[in-house]
Amino acid sequence: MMRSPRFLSIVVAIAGIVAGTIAPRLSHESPPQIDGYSILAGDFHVHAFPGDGSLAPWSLRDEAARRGLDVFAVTNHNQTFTARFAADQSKGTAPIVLIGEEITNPDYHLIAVGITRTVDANQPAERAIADVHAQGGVAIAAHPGPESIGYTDAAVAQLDGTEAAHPTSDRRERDEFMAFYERTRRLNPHAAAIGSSDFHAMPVPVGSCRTFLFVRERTAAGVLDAIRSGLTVALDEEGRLHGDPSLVAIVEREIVTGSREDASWDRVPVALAWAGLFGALLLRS
Amino acid sequence: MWSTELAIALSPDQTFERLITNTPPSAIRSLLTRLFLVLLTIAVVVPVMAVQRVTASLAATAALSWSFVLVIQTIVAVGVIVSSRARRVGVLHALDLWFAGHIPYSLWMLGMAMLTANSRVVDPAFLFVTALVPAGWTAWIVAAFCRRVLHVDSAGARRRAAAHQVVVWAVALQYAAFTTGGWFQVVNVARILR
Repeated sequence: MMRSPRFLSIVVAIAGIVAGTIAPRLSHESPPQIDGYSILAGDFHVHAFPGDGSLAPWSLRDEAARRGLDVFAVTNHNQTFTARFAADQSKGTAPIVLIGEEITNPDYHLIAVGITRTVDANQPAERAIADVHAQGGVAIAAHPGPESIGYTDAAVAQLDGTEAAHPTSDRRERDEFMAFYERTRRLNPHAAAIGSSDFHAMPVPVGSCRTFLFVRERTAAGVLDAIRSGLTVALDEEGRLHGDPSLVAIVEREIVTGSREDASWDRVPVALAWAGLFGALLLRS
Repeated sequence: MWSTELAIALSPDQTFERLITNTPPSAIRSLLTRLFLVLLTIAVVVPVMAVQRVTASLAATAALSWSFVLVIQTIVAVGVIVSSRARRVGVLHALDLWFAGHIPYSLWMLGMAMLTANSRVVDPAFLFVTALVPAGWTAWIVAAFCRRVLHVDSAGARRRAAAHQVVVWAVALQYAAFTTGGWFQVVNVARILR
């Protein structure tokens, strides 16, 4: 039986999706252990759908696992609904999902991780940080730059960490993140170096910038304790490590920070799906 | 050889005129096929842009998550269609013809997916600016739809096409403001664009 060009194109597109589903996946390695600490990989700035992220929480969890993350936080702007849903439906499975929020104020962006309810964004940074701490969470300055005028010295001194590594193609911006990290360490020597992807919808992958954490226990509490204690190392997109030099030396020794991804298997299904769709749109039914 | 949708995208007046007289055996089936095609496009494009791969789970989740866009489009379309008492076809057939005009946005989405799948850095501002192309192209198609299918005069067609653009962009920007923390975030993007 003759089928229309559109029908055949749709079959090609669906074949691409099927091929993508059965393509081989990376296996996740166990975190290295050293002196009673496990070194976990985390991403504490990830956006999900519903919100301004494009992926639903369960897709995000699969992607985080595929990228070798042990823990991540869903941090949508000024709401925790999506993060609470993500944490709820991932209980007992890896990676650990933490409830978070990107507290978004015109004068500052602040990541709250380990909270239980939404923190009001319409207040000075200092008070927002206090609210995060009151809920048992940690407060991390998000992509801090010159426009982050809400970060007074009093606020910075209360931060648990700051994004020393955040995706950007602008070298000046990268220097600004580091300058803010140095400023934070002067005001609070235990402030953690954090690397985050700020994943939304575009090809800056989850975990592209990430944080290595030295945790006593592989739980949400263990992760938050590591951040509070500054036992972290931030990895930027170019593979550079930032943080306490002694911790950086351990991560350099114990962890392969280069990309483990072999994207070639994913190229063929994407090309098939794309070409099939292109045909389906343009060819007659 | 070429699809009806492509014919509409290239010469909307003549194609709508032809399709009005050429009623499909089942308008609902034709409409559902078009909606399926748009949803399949979203199902592939969203994961490819986000994670440069596509699986059944990612595609199904993306289709489910973003199907609200089609619901909004349907509501807006029904609003435009019922605004004319002189329309030459029933509401379902009109809706089917309306969704046959999806090529500009579908091609734009496919183009952006190809770009992001092959480049690590695509500026969101670039996406925003390039979206003006399918927006303008769609407005042209909608105006033709109003003239031919709804049988309104040229001024009425232009008003409806403009109203459609205003509603779609207002909903999109409101969604952006709601999900990114406030209108000041949208204004910041506008400043970067300027």
